[in-house]
Amino acid sequence: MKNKKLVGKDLILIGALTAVMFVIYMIISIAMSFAGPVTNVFYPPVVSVFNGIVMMLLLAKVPKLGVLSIAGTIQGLLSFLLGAFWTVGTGLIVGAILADFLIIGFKDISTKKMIAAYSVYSGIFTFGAIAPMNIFRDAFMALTLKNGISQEYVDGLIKMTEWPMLTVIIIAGFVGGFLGGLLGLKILKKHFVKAGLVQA
Amino acid sequence: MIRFKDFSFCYEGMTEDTLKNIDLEIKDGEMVLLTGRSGCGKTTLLRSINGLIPHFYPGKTNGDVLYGDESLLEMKPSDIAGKVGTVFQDPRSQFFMTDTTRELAFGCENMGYPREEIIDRIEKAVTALELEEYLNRSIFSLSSGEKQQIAIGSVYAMTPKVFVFDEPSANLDHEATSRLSGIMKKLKDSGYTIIVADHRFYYLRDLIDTAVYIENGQIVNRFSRDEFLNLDNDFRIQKGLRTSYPERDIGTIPEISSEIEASAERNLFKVDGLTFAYDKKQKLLDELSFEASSGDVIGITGHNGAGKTTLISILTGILKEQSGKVYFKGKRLSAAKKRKLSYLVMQDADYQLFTASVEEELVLGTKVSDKQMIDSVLDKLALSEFRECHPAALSGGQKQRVTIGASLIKNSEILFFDEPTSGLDYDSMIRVSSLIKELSDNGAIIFLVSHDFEFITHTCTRIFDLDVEKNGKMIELGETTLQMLAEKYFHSFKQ
Amino acid sequence: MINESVRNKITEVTFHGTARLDPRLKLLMLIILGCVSFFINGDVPSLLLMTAVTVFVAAGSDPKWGIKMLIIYILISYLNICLKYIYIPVISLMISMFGVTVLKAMPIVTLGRWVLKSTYMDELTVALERAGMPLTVIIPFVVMFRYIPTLGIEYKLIRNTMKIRGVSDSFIKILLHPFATFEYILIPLLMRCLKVSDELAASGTTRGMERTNKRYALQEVRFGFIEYLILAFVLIFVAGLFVLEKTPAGHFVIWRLG
Repeated sequence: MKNKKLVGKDLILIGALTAVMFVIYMIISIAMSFAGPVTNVFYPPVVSVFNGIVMMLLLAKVPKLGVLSIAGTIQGLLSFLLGAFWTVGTGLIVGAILADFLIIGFKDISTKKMIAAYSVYSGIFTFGAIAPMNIFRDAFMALTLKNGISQEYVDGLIKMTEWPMLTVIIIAGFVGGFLGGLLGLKILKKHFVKAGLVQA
Repeated sequence: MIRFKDFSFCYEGMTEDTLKNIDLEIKDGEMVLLTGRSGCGKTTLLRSINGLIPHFYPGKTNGDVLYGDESLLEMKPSDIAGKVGTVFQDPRSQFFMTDTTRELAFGCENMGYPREEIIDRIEKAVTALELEEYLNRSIFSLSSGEKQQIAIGSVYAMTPKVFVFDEPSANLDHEATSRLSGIMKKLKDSGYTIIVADHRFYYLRDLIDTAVYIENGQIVNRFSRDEFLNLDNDFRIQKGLRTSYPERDIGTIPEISSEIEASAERNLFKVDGLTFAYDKKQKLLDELSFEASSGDVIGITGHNGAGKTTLISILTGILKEQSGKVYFKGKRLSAAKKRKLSYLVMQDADYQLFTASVEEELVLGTKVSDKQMIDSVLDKLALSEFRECHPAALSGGQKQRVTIGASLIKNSEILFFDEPTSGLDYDSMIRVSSLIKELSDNGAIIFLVSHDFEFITHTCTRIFDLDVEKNGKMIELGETTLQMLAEKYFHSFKQ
Repeated sequence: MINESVRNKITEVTFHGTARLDPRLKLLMLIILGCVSFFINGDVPSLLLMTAVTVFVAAGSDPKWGIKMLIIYILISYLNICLKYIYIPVISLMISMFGVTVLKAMPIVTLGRWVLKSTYMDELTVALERAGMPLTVIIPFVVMFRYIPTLGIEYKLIRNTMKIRGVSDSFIKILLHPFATFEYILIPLLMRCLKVSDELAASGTTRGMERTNKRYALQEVRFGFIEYLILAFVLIFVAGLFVLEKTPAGHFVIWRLG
């Protein structure tokens, strides 16, 4: 799998698959935020597991430097536009660019690299999404309370984002990415490689 | 204008050349038809003209393709864009913008033309192709034919000297094909060089200058228009070509096999007073009533938007009728029962394949595990060797057979086919026709929605039409009305 | 020979007023709105914010949408209060979370959907180009917007087939086989995605999509005096809302029962 410049064909595929990833992200994050504070804080790893399939497909079809950065940047931009807390978008963009340049790099891409990069991206994204609830805790909680969210929920959130638990969540982020990558590769092999749509 | 000099091409990853030693000269202002069986290489030839080969579809080239004096192979697609314009087969995946006017401007904007010039160019395109009523609309609100007109307009505004069309009629109904023919005529009269690849070409019979027949990547025959239109029927069929005169070559309408007709066990499918409307003003389907029994192969014709898809959606249980009743074997059918009984083979098989092997695909959704039954179905559909293959790796025709196989395993008694021959060459069309006849001989009731006149007259025992009487009424066509319909569809091509 | 009526139609726009502002401004406003919405909590400032959005959207040729959203906003605010008086263990939590999320999201959704409808993609492309965004990010971004409605259509078609074949066609079946259902929906969707992307790319490439020359949109794109003026207005308004938060008006509860 050689590393070359991005062409128009690649950009369009990135656009289409990022659309799919974003829709999945929206559905999961909204669903999980309702079910309660426990599930709420775990939405980033879960999103990563499901989106792993799409991302692995994207990286397999376009094994080039820049793909991950662009996909992450666009999702980051969208999260800004939709009013999520600024750290979410930043986490997505920074995570994507770091993972892309540090891991995928300028040389040839292997499946190991793909999974590693996606794990890193997922971990940083999770940090960006959930850590603020701890770091800016007071501001966050005051806001959430003022907004009318019940004390119960807020208490739950506080408990979930205290340091020991927070580390668990962040690790879950990396693990989620790892699992998502593995799952993605498995599905790639089962369907897309077998059908000849993707080079192994 | 365009010249192929001993040109050969092999796609990256393939072992055999798709095009072999092509020598072809296309003059300024000439309209050339490229035709041949599926997979013969006509699309590859087109891609060599518009620059997609070798930049978009990498591979090994030999020889040269010239545009005037320049080599197309050495130019980037970005530079070829203003010189050669391409209109592709699927109108749904050709547009970039969500607004029609912007889509018309797309090519010009890419070329970097200043605003005033872009407006000028769009104006000329809209006037020449009569697109005024389609300006400033959401592309999603247009029909396939209309989308395609916008695609042509977008290319026209770039004023290329050469127009390339890749199976443009595949997704169009008769009206839209007629309009396409009109547009091609205007292009020809304006002096553009036009190259068209298509399986169905009756709509071009008064326009082409030359027809080129390709087989296995090589140009095997070259015909002038007269020669092509007067091909001996047997020769034409042997070459796997459709007819240029569908209205003339109707042949005999098939009859239900006598065994079935005599059999006492004919299932009766009855529709009574079916009505459906999407908006309150106009009923799409108005009090439709008919009966069908085992062995019937019923064709449903009508222009896009007449209600064919809606009717099928209702009969398969995806949509609920607003009034009226549907019965099978005497019992009233609910939407869920309709879904259980019926099976729909869609136009695009990609929406219908879910698993990683043909065998798995056949039994999906059913609880069947009878090896013998599966084996016999695979055998019947010539799919035995593909048993372990991933459905997505198969050709279009094979994918279609897989979905038909699934219907056999499901033991559906009512089958619906939506445009089963769109984009198929003659041989495949005949194969589908035979398969359908076999299915009906085995007792199924079959409904076909199709624009393919040749196919319908070959396959259907009865034909229903939604166009002859408008306002949501459907009538059954007899021999005379069929002839009348043929005249209506093909009258503009009368010599 | 110039065809006047055609020319007029070409230069016509469907959305007027605020819709004709530079896309960069609209995006900035969306981002600002996102930041603000989270921090503004008082009933009065929040309502003011929502109303301001409605006015802005109405001034951009879509009053129906703006007003509809405003009414829903008011309804949900009121319903949210009713919740405080009924307590059902888990459900209350869920609904209150739901209510609050929806309320926070409403101004953004209102403005967001209007921005999508009222902005032409070619103007967005040119605006982002001028803002310095690389083409490698702009093209996927724009393609995404064109592809999402298509995704919806494809999803429906796939679900229809699944229903006919008896695959995951009932709620129970989906609950019992969640991952299989996900696979059955996602795989054809992705296959189609690959195919459509390919065809779209072919169509775009043959129409010069990859060219690197400067592009001009059909309507002029300029971040000019009006844009700066409105930006200033917006920032002042937002600052005002924050100030209001701190005053008694910020604590005033509009929605109450009895």
